[in-house]
Amino acid sequence: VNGSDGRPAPAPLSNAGWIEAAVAACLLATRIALHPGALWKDWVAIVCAWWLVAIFAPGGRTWKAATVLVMLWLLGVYLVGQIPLIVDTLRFQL
Amino acid sequence: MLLANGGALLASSWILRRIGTGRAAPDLVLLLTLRYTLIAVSVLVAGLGGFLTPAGLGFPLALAFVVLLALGEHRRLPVRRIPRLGPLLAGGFAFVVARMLLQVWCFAPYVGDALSYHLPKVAEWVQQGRISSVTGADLRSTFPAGFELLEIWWTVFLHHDVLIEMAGVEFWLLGAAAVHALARWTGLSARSSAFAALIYGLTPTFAFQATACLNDGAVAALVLSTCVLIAFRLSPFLWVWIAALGTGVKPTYLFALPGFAVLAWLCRSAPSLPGPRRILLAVAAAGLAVGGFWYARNLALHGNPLYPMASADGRHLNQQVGPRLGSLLENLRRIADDHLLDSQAPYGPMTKYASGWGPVPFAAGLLAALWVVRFDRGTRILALSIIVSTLCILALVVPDSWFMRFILFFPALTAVALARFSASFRPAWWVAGFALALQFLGTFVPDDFGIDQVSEIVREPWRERGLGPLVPGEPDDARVACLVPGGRKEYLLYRPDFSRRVEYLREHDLGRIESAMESQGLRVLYAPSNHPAIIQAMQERRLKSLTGRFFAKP
Repeated sequence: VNGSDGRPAPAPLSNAGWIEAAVAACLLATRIALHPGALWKDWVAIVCAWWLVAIFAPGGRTWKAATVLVMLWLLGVYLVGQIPLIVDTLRFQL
Repeated sequence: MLLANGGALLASSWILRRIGTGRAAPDLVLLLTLRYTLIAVSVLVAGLGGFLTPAGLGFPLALAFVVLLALGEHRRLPVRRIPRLGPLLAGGFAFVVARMLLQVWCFAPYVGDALSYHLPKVAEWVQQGRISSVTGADLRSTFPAGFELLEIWWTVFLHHDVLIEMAGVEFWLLGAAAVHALARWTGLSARSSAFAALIYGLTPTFAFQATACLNDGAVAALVLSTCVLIAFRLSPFLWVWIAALGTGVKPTYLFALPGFAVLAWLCRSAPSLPGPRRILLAVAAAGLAVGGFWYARNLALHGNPLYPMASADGRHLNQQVGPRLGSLLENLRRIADDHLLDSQAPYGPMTKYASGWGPVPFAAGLLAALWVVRFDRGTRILALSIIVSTLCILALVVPDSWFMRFILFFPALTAVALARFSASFRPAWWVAGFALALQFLGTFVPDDFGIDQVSEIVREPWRERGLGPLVPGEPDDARVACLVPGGRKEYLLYRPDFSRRVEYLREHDLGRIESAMESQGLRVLYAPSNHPAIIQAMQERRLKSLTGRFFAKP
């Protein structure tokens, strides 16, 4: 995946990349410390983990696989909570 | 009504040709905002002049329609310049808009806040044919009513509220148009920009706000429109204009100002678009009149432009004045911990304990935003501006159950980023498409209304369609008294065709309440049962309880 101007994605380990990585890692560590038992549905932790992949392996096969996996995982986490509510609102009989 | 609406549209187009950019995307935003301004000014002038009637309000704009149609203005509308979207996107928009119009027809005002303090003034002013100092029994009824001006427009011609939700639909269109323009500004193609607009338009809370007679969706649309005007470097007179309009709809608009400043600073190197100074000044003055009127009125009547905020009367309102770090941290914690999951409550216009942003930003939009801002300068600037506005708002609002509706503009960022991301990474398009379909499914009926209630209400003839009566066995009197303060959901007292008269009594003493009712020939009183005068009246058997909050002389 390239940038909007057609250039290849920049190298991840520039100064800005390290700052990004530090922010993502700090957030991830905080979430692990705060919610160790519910990480599977902690969207902040999941997005931060993906963010680290995006920083260190941008645009590659690992990144593509991780992106699809994370999107589907987040979608699943969301639907577990919301689908019963939609079904209830629309009075669907399952 | 049709002629007047056409007149407002063509007159807006006439002004647009003098101050517009010549580009379809920002010009559509300008057109919709100009239309709102023209309507708001017309309603305000007609209301203050005492001719808020179908003829008084409609005749000048109907005349403008005939003249402008004869001059061929309809051929110059910017909507004619929007490129073809392709069958999938065009079909998607057609479905969403058709469903929204159906919701307008089927829904009646149902949200407690709207029934208690937004709409009573609409009913009162339409019934009286003028804008007066009577705004309702709730303390919050003195809040700015810029949005209500558009609701009056959609009720005055039929003398009925069946189309009142059209006011929100106009702002829904403005929000979608603004997202489209912002996406174009970041360099997206016309189709991807339209996809971004569709994504944002289907944000559950934003979609439901459009048909709920609430003004948070309107504020979100105006925040995004302000970003469009700044990003496209339009005249600062127009920035003043739209900022005044936003402030006149709801003061929370002002909380987003720092983000606009950031955007203006980061876009300062681009050349600004000049325009005819005289017309720009007139437009800015119209905005200031519409937006500033409510603050001037409160200053004149209560000695405080922000009344009841920052006053003794407003101390029990659960709202803060000024920023608080504690509010910011608590609001952020709630967003991170559970609000984005939307698992606490079904979708609705207020979406209690949840964001109501839907699965699209959650599953794909956030990742897309994180990815795209790393490479695209336009999206990065937009993100910075929106994030600054969001953080400021979160610091300025109390962490209550509904604070997420104040940052309803945020999903515009994830929508723009996702439209760009999905153009180059196809799996994101499929996830977004699936999640978007779920959002469409989840936004048929709001939780607060209920499908049973909708089914019941659509079976009634449209003239009688409303949520009333307030309680079973409600008295049928043509005139009722309503005690101030109080009046929970008193808009329903007026009935959908505004056929019942509500007389507001501001007395606190029981004797004075009785004599006011006597002198005005009123039998029934609508009042909270915990009001000291009502408690006294019940103890001394000077009033009898009928049902709910209704009381009558024995």
